[in-house]
Amino acid sequence: MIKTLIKKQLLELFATMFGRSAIGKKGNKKGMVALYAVLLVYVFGVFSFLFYGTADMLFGSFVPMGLAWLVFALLGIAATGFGVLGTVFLANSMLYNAKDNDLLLSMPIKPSNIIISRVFTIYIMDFFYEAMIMLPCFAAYIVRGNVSFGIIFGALVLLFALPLPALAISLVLGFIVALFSGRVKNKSLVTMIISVAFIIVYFYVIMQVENYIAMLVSNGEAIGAGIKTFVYPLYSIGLAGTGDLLHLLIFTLFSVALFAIIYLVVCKSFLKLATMKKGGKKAVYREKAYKNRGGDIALLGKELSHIWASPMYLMNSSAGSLILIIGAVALLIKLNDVLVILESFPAFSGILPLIVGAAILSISSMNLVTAPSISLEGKNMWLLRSLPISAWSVLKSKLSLHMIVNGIPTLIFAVICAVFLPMNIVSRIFLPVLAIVFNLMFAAIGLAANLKHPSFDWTNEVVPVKQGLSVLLTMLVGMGVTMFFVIAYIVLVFALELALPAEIFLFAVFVICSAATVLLYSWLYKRGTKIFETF
Amino acid sequence: MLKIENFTKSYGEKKAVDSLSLHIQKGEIYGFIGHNGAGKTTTLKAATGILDFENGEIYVDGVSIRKDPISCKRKIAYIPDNPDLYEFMTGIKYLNFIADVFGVGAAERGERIRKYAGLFELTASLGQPISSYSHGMKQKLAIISALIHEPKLIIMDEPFVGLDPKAAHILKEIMREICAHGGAIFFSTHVLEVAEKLCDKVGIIKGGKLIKSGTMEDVKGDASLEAVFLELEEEDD
Repeated sequence: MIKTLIKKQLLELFATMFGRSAIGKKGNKKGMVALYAVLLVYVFGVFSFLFYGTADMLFGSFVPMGLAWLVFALLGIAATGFGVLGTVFLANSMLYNAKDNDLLLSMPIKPSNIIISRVFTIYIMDFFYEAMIMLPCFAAYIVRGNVSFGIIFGALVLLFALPLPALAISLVLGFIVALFSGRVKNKSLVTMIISVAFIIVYFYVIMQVENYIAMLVSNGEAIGAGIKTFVYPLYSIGLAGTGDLLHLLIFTLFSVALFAIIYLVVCKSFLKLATMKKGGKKAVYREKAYKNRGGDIALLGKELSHIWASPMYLMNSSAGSLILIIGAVALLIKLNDVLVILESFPAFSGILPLIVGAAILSISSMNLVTAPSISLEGKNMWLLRSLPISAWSVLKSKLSLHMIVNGIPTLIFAVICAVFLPMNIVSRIFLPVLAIVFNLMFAAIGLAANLKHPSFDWTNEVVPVKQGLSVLLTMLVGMGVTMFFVIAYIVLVFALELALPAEIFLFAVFVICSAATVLLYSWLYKRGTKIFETF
Repeated sequence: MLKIENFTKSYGEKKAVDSLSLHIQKGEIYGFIGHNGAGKTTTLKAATGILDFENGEIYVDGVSIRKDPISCKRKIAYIPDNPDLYEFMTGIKYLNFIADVFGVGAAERGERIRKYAGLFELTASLGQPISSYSHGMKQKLAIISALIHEPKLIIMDEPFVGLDPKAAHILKEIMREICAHGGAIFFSTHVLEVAEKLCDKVGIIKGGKLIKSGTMEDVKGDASLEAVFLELEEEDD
């Protein structure tokens, strides 16, 4: 039974990953699988490369001090945090809000089997996130000449055991949200506040990483002693990583026991939480004044209602904007300190507009509002297709949503940087303009990708938002565009030694991105609308 | 009001509907019956402009749905077999959304929402999210939203499924009222007793082909519609 349920979960996952081709032509399917594999390897490769560098640096400092275990412990925490961040929304949605809950619960299937099949999918994702950090960590350790049976065996067991604590934390958070949703009227607002707080803390910690590393290097032994005394499982992770089989056993037992306890709690409460009426006390409707807003505003209102009602969609598609807003506020608060730093590095001021532009570009490329937006119509597609609205109006509403959710925060960040940071008038004008152009471009890229690779057969919104092929494609195109401009600048200025002022480069970026945006919108208007009419 | 001429729709190699023609005049209720997979939903969806098709033509009030789909859709309301609505909206938000799309003025929409939500006893629940509605409540909301712009043609796929007896009775009354005011209704049903009592015309579709069509008297004669339907179903088996 569990096998059948897991197969169903994976079928749903693949149908979303590969779009219609998963149930369509065989040749096409193979091509999509190959493309998806390449994209996953690329993402995995980029992150692994970054974490290899971090691990190598840390081992360089801690191995001579006899504290190699501390590196495994620290990266173990990072892997767990990464896993929780990646699956925190998934657990609640997959367990308690899946559309096939009623169907499955009506069948002669034990609820525990339904849970285990879904938890398995979350485990796979946790495993992926954790492996991106821990595999390079083990590689860095082994490259330094630390090879033994214990280390290799420990690495293999840890890779499978380490996702369990992250999984347990995600399940607990999902359980808490499900518990709240039965009592709180505005579940979205509560989830949103918790999510934003979580993300702010996470990014605060990330931004402080350099300070922590410096602190670790200078106080490594004291911190190591603290961890050993107060956070024993972390100490066990660390020693297991270095090949200590006893601690490997202790940590594995700890992880399995932790997961087992949480699993039992989830099983015990699943039926009640998955079937309870949500939204607290029901208020009786009181009529308010009606007004005619017109079709286009109504469509945009519908998109806004959707994203606001789905914290997972909102956070997944606009976390970058949140970072920009936090960045803008931080800049205003710490403006004097920033200006002092900039004054002490005169060479830095020449490329400051480029650094701000690169930040805007890279963060804009991570905001994926439109990439799952067509798939999210799901079974409601009949509505848009039967109403007297043009396909272009529908596409426009999705593009506009992106501009509201991401374009405005990016513009605010760009304007604050342009007004308060030292740069010439041309750069001051270009940065806000580029903020708009980048967002128009990435909104169009996401929408085009989703029109080409839609998936309507999902039972949970998490699937198209987090695992859809169009989302992955858009993310990679965004990374590619950012890398293209960064590499182009490095080649032109450092390799070819061209005297290239920042404003000229920004202008070139503006011209290229504007041209791409015009082409994309033209494609959406001519071809995209035709594709939409076939759904 | 609705004229379908030689409509053909294929899914890959399989012809779902083959050269189907029918004509529904203003003031008529046309019942569309056939077994599962006969091609009813495909025909209804094509008549609504949701599905594209290879051959034939469909006219709504004399306008081709292929050439001017938006203009045709303004005159139509469609209720699918399964009321998949925007669950992230409340009932009233959904009704306002539909009214906005059709450009219904504030006074008219207020009047119609009051009237139909009152009839279907849904007024008190309009402030609740659709996700909290039962299947029947969603079906009622889909019906109210279909009536909000006073469509000339209502196309419905199994509209009585999920409705309680009172709501089903009200819907039949509304269908008659719409036709009395010059509208037309094209709906599919498996409840042959309802079709027999309610419809002016009936069409029986089998394997994508319209095997019998005409006024209720022409189709069933002195027999019951059920007897005629079962006889026709068995003829080529």
